[in-house]
Amino acid sequence: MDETVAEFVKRTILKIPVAEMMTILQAWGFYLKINCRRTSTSGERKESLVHDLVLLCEEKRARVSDAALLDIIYTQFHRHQKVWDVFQMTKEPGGDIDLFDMKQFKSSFKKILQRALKMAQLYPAKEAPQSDSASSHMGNSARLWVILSRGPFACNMSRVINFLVSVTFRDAEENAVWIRIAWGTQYRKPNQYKPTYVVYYPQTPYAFISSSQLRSSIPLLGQALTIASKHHRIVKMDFRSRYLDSLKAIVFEQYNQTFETHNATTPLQERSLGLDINMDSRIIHENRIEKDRVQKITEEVFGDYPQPRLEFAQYKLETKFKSDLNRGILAERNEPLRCLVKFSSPNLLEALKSLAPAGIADAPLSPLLTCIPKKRMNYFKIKDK
Amino acid sequence: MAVLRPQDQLPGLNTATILLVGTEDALLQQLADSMLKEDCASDLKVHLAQSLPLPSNVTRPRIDLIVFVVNLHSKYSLQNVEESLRHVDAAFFLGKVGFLATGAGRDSHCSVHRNTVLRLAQAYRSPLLFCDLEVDSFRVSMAQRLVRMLQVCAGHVPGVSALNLLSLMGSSENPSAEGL
Amino acid sequence: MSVSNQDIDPDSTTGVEDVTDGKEELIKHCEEMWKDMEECQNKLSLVGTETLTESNAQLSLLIMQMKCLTAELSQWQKETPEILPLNEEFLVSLGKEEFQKLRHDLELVLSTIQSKNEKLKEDLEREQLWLDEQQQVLESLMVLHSELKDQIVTVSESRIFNELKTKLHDIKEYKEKLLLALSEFLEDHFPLPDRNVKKKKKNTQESTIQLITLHEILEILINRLFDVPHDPYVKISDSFWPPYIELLLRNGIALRHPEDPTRIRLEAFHQ
Repeated sequence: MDETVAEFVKRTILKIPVAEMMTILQAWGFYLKINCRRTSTSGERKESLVHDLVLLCEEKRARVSDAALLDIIYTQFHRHQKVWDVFQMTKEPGGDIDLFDMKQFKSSFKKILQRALKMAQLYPAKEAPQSDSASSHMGNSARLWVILSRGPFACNMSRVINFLVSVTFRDAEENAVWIRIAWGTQYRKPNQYKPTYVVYYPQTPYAFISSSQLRSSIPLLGQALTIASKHHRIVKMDFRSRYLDSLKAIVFEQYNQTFETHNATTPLQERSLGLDINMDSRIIHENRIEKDRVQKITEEVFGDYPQPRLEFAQYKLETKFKSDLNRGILAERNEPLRCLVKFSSPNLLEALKSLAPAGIADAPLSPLLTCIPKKRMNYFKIKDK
Repeated sequence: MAVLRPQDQLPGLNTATILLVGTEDALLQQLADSMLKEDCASDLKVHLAQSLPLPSNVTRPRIDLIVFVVNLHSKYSLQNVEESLRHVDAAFFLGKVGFLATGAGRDSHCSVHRNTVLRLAQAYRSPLLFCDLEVDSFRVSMAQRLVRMLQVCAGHVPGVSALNLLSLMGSSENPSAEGL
Repeated sequence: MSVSNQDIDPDSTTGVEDVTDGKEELIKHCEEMWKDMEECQNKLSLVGTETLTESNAQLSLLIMQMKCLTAELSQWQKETPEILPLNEEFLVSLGKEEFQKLRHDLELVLSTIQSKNEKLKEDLEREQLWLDEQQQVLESLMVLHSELKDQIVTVSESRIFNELKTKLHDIKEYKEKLLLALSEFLEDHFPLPDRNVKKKKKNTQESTIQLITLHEILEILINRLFDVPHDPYVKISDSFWPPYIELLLRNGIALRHPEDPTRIRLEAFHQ
């Protein structure tokens, strides 16, 4: 087994908390047989366990793709550690209704991505590939080939392409497919420690992509995704959260369900604190009718189910100062006022929902705040009409 | 009934009624609970209201003390109190109104300056109490204090009237208030 | 303004319960008071309401407060303390109640005092125990002290002097003994070469020189080392028998001068 693969496996396993170790390793499957031998791991120190596992992986000649699979499983368990962007794809009207073939999707996604990346790297910046530059193309490839063939590994052209990117798939719940892409360059192996994740639900126009620093690779990813899923356009929505399941619920309008169990009990407690009317007969609520009204309006807007989890909403305002009273410096400004308002909370929608019932804001709330799930966005730009 | 008057009804037998006015229901509710837990010879009744005027279609006992709760973290809460004050008869301010400012403990969260509330209380010649209602122990001691005030205001303490108490509190409570 | 002062006194209502005869009288009294209150209430309800704004509140409230306080003052001055009707039975029942209350209070005080007493007793016992322990410690310390006192012996100078003298004497004797033993040993094992040996006779020159014993050589070396420590070297004279010099040098008892091979010294064993 390659040394880098061993290191990759080791680092991935070290990330896993001991409590989840068995579950994740079993989901991995690659080492299921081996793990039967060693049922109790709880008492052992993690380091020794990791050491043993790496040795076993070496024995079994694990490949990068096996390790990448383990990384996907880990990320599936810890999906809230990433920030997810929502992308929406569209088809041109009149297109045929295709039957979705997962196998075909995977192979064509991989192929298109590799090709796109190769083109992008061989012709970087604005220089578009032209037919007469084939020679230079050849030249580059040849040079690359020479570099690689001098290396310690035997290699051919297909290996060169593999070199640029490594793509791993894993089928997940509800037909979803998780795609892990580790990016490389023509001179370097794919960096396994800064991968991009894509979660795609087949036969829907939505994909969720984990935010990464490699901004330049996102268009390529979009291109591969669009073509492989037989769509025509892809647009990044202004919608982003740590909670993949919540994003999914909003996008697919699957509200009536429970959301990620992370701290799920707190909003309920808050509600019971403020809103339940005390049974003590000596306490009389004077504004009971008003309270009921607020409750009703809130329920109309937000529904009576627990809200999907979002952490923030951002509003970019570009507006003129309006006031009849004091004609100050602001009133005479011709340029618009620009400001950014950011709402953040561990559970933003739940917080917004409890604003009016807690008496902090008037009911109904501004539609700007309540439209987040309906509009499927939490980044807004607001301008004067 | 739009304007709340202190002596619009005969008192109930051995009953003392307090009206808590404030936007934040949860805080008022907790304060009310703490007050009812206090040991007290009179029958306590706690009315909670978001704002004044109170709805006119219900009968309620005579209100002996109104406490306006201002959350220093929320300008809305201050505005609400200022609005509500317009629906209170002047006679109430003869010792039967108190202001309670909460949230001063977390200075960074404050959007209402303490002096603003102090000036408001000063303008209405009424005592201003500070208490972080979110802290259990503070709330309990504040509840205790309010219960004592209420008993005086309801006339259940022989020899001390509400006005009497007010003039006593005024001198000790905010000695610096005059300077504002 | 005095309405609140005339509120029904809770004591008067509870006081009624026990008394049957005085009950009616009291109820009548209460009803009169209630009627007074209703009258006042009627008058009050005629007074219009007045609301304030923040800007005008201060002055009008101050005026109102002043008026009210004056009214209250005059009320207090006018008022004679109201006495409950002096019905004997009523007084008895009130007194009883008062006594019962007092008894209850006193009982409370009693139990508190008792528990306090108990606690004090416990404290006392503990303190006593502690004191005993301390005393025991003190006693044993005293015993130790006196024991140590007995052991003290007056140290006399002459005694020490004598002791040292005897020690010195002993050591000197021991030294003599050692020296004696050494000289005997040397005499026995390292004698001077026999002059009667025939080989030596041939060398006439040599026979004229008086050789000294190993004992004497060592003595010279030792004396030199201690008399002139800065220059302990001794010149090898003809009276030193060369084989003995060789012996001393070989065994590291003597050392040759690094520059002058004709001089030797004794190894500094004493340093």
